[in-house]
Amino acid sequence: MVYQRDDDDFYSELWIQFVDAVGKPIINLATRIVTASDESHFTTDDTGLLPPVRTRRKDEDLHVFIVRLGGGEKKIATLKNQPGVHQHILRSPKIHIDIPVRKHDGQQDNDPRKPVKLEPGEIQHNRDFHGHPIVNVGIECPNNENLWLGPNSKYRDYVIAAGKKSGFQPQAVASIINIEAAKKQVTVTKATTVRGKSRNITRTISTGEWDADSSNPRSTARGMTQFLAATWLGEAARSGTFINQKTVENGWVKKTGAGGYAVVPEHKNNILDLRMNAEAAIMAAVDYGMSNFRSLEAIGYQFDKLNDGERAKILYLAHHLGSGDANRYLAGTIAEDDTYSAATPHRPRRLIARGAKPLLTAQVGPDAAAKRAEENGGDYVKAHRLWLSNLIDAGVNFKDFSCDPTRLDDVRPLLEIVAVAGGKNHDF
Amino acid sequence: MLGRALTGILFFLLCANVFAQTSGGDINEFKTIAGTLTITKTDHAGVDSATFNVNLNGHEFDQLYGAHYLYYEDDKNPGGASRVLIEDFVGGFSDTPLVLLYDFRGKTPNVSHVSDQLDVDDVRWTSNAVFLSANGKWYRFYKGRLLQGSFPKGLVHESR
Repeated sequence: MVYQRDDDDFYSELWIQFVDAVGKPIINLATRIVTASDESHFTTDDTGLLPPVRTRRKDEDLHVFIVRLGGGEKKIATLKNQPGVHQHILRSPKIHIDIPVRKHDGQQDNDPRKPVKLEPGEIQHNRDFHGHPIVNVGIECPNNENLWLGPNSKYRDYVIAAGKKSGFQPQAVASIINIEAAKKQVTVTKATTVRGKSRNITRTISTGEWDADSSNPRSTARGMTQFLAATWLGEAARSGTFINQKTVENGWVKKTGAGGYAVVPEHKNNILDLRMNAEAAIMAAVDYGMSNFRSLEAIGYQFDKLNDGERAKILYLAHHLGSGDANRYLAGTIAEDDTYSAATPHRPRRLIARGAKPLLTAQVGPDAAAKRAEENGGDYVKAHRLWLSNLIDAGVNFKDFSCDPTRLDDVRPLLEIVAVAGGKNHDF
Repeated sequence: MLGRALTGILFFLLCANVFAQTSGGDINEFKTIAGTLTITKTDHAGVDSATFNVNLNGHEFDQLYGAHYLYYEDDKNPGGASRVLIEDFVGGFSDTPLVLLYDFRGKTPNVSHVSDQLDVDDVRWTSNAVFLSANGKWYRFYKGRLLQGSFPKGLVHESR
């Protein structure tokens, strides 16, 4: 997804990109896009992109067909229409390679019983026992973990290690990292027709590749999983975290008399720079998420009734709201406005729970928040609850990170999960 | 005499360089000039209840609401810290923590709200102010007000 806009009128702009099994763009693919009101024939460009599909009708699904090489066409996807500007990546299970013509001579150059390990997309030309040319191609799927990472396959070992540490399936870890991670982006310009006139539209779109060097210009968040400096320093000083282990090994934190850890001042920047290390960013995100998850579990929610894809949604809920507000979301007690503790002579009043109105406003802006509340009968609590459940249901899908999704349990919507885990939904 | 004075200054500078920050566990206890400050995780946080109770000499002093907290003490007095800066991670992952100042120097120790919008990465202390670094800028908390300023001059010490 590029970004969302909540205009007064419904407006949807969808950028569809086609990639192969290793995440490379599929070029010159002929397609047909059908909506209730229109039909377009497009061919993908050198980034695998089609021109944007724009519509102003809420109820229009987009049906995507591709032209087969041998003739005819095949329907490959139906995409739901959502307000705003969106990006959807359609992944082929195949890979396209160009194979040069080679003579049938020479000697066998590898042992078929000991296949060469190749990275996804890596190609190696070999010869068999009779000197016949053969081509070995590295593919990601199938594999023992049933884990597909596509453009992020280089982080495979870290995702699997984070899964082992947290007790989550690696697909669940990948789904959490993917929604938290900054992505590498490219700017594209496409000609499109607006009210009968041709004009160029320029957008920044995601490549889907997690960006280990990300630096958010609008905040102090840094690195692939966008940690704030204060949070990162806290994780370095928190016993048992991956960052704590690394910083202890490097002598960047030291144990204190109270049993905690203290940052060694001259190494503070070394610790903060570690945010740009992909392994540290992935492991820290999971450590931090698990800490919030365990906090909720300790309250008594029954997360053992959920599968890992569903637990991943809860973990992201706590990540997004913090464990306190996540508890209120699960209990169905988020109020419309912020809640404060009472002030005492020596202590000012304290914000102890954020309200649905400020929470939603912080995410989508005041106008869009007001519009969403209006659409829900003036109810900010309902508007926020539905907005967040839609965000998580759309964004945290562990099946998206599997070679064979049928081998994973189906994931229920967040609000259904809330009830199963012992939470309470409102009677809206 | 001069040599002893220089040694004393050098010793002070070295001590002042022992900046520290510590993350709390389930129970954290340390000395202040007003007595023992204990931060204890509550058993089961109910809705709208605190996650940590902060007691001074066994009496309720403050409460924290986030899943984590972090603290910075000022320079080490023989009797313990005279001020402590607390970061209470009460919001979501992308929210900056709530920053509070505990001041134990008055007749009645008190809690001040410093900010909920600073991503603090360094803290320095002078006798009458606290300097906080966030995103490459320095802020000064003085007499209950937070103002953007420059790096503190004069007698400055880092947290221990």
